[in-house]
Amino acid sequence: MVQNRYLIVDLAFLTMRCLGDIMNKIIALLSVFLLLLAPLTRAETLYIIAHKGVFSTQKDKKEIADFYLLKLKINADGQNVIPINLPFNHPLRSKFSLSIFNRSPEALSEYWDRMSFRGVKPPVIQSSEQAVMLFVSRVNGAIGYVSKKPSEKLNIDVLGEIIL
Amino acid sequence: MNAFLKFSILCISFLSLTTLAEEENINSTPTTPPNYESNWDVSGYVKIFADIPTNNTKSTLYLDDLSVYVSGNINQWFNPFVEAEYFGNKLWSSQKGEGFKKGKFIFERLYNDFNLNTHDRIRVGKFLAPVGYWNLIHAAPLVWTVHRPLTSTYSYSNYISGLEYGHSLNLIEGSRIDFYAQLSNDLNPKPLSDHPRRYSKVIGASWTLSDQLDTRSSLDFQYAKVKTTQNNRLTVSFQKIWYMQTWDIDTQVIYTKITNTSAEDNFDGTIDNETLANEEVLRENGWDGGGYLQARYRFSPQWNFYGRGEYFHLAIEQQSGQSYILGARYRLGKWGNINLEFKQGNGAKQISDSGFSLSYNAMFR
Repeated sequence: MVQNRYLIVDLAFLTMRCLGDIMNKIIALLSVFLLLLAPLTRAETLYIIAHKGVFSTQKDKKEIADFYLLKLKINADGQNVIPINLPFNHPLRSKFSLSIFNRSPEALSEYWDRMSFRGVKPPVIQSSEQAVMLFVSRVNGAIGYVSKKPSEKLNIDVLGEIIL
Repeated sequence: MNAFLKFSILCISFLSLTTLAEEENINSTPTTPPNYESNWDVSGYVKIFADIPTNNTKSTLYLDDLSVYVSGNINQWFNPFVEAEYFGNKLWSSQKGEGFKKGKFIFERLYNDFNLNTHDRIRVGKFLAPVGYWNLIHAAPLVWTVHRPLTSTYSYSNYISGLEYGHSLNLIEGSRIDFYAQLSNDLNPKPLSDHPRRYSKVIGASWTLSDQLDTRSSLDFQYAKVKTTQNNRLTVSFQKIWYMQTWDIDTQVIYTKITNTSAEDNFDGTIDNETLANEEVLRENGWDGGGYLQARYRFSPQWNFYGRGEYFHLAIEQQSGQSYILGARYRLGKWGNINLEFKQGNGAKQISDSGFSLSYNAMFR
């Protein structure tokens, strides 16, 4: 990351030297300033994870949504898929809801309550990201989401990365 | 110990063991192994409401619903669902001599699903008739208003005691078709004081056009023979719901053609007192029908506002009726919701009551 920053700074000053007029220098300086700030405001990444071997390919948002909306319940091998959720007030759940479904956690909560009343089991709740990772690594068929890339030592596949 | 007391104790015990929650059961310690061994889901809901009429009649406080439902997803052939409900418990009335009145207990749903494959299912037992979405999700915390529209409940058999075959046309879009039949009497029916009629035979079909996060629509048919009166009721219903970012729009229209050409001639004298009290006995041909349009606005995560207009025509009444509802729901987070609602009705007595209602309702799991 630090090497990247130096490279960016070098490129910017090189650009400035090539530019003759003051206006261009100001623009270039501003660009440098913004580029240096960029790593500080780096976007958060959401990792969609699954128990190792549940899916052989990466999944896009639509496919992930279908499992969380309880439309799809089994994978290609006929194995039950168990979606895992974070608690209602967890900030990552809010980001997941907006990113995957374009809906608030309240709207999804209403949807899952309706499904539960009709006899369809809603996603299993785990209290923290750590608990989600533990669950997914141990329970065959589980899928979840976390904000940190899981260790390769864990029994987990990353199905997709979503920049928030 | 009577059934009422047993059920009360069961519910209180259950409530004391569960945490009221919106939709979740949270593991307390993240470092312990996950406890996903259960294929069972135990949930329930409660609704307490006060009716304060504006026409100077009595105000009443009800424990309207206390329901526990258990669903199991065990294997392809064993997927039971049981819902036990205690309802209609009058807790207090402003009129002297009309205080506490105990409620009633029924099994609202009791069935098993046999999953033939991912697209086909057979359901056997007592279940909710798929006529409009309101009938399928009528629990107080899942619907917006304290008062249920007459359109969603009055003119058809709400429950089926029999079997249903369902075929999913598209799993993702949620389109499916269901056929169902009840060939005998209702199983564990609600008293006629709470439900307009009982049925001896019912057949029907429901075509769910879509059932997704942002929309749901269905076209439903039902043919029902009313027990004792020999009335035949042929119902067609259409419902469409839009779930948007801040708005929900919900509408349903229903029409029921009632025929009764032989009741007086064929009446066999076995009618019971309960049915005699019902105004529908031996009445003439006619139709029930109407519709409603309801909107909900999500002002904030806590505050929701809603309104509804409904028109309904009843064969047993000289005049049709209309009602208008305005209300607000405040979410208490995991502790449920509080509704404050005003209803203005006129015309037929089944729809014409007016006044304020205050309701507390919550899901628990």
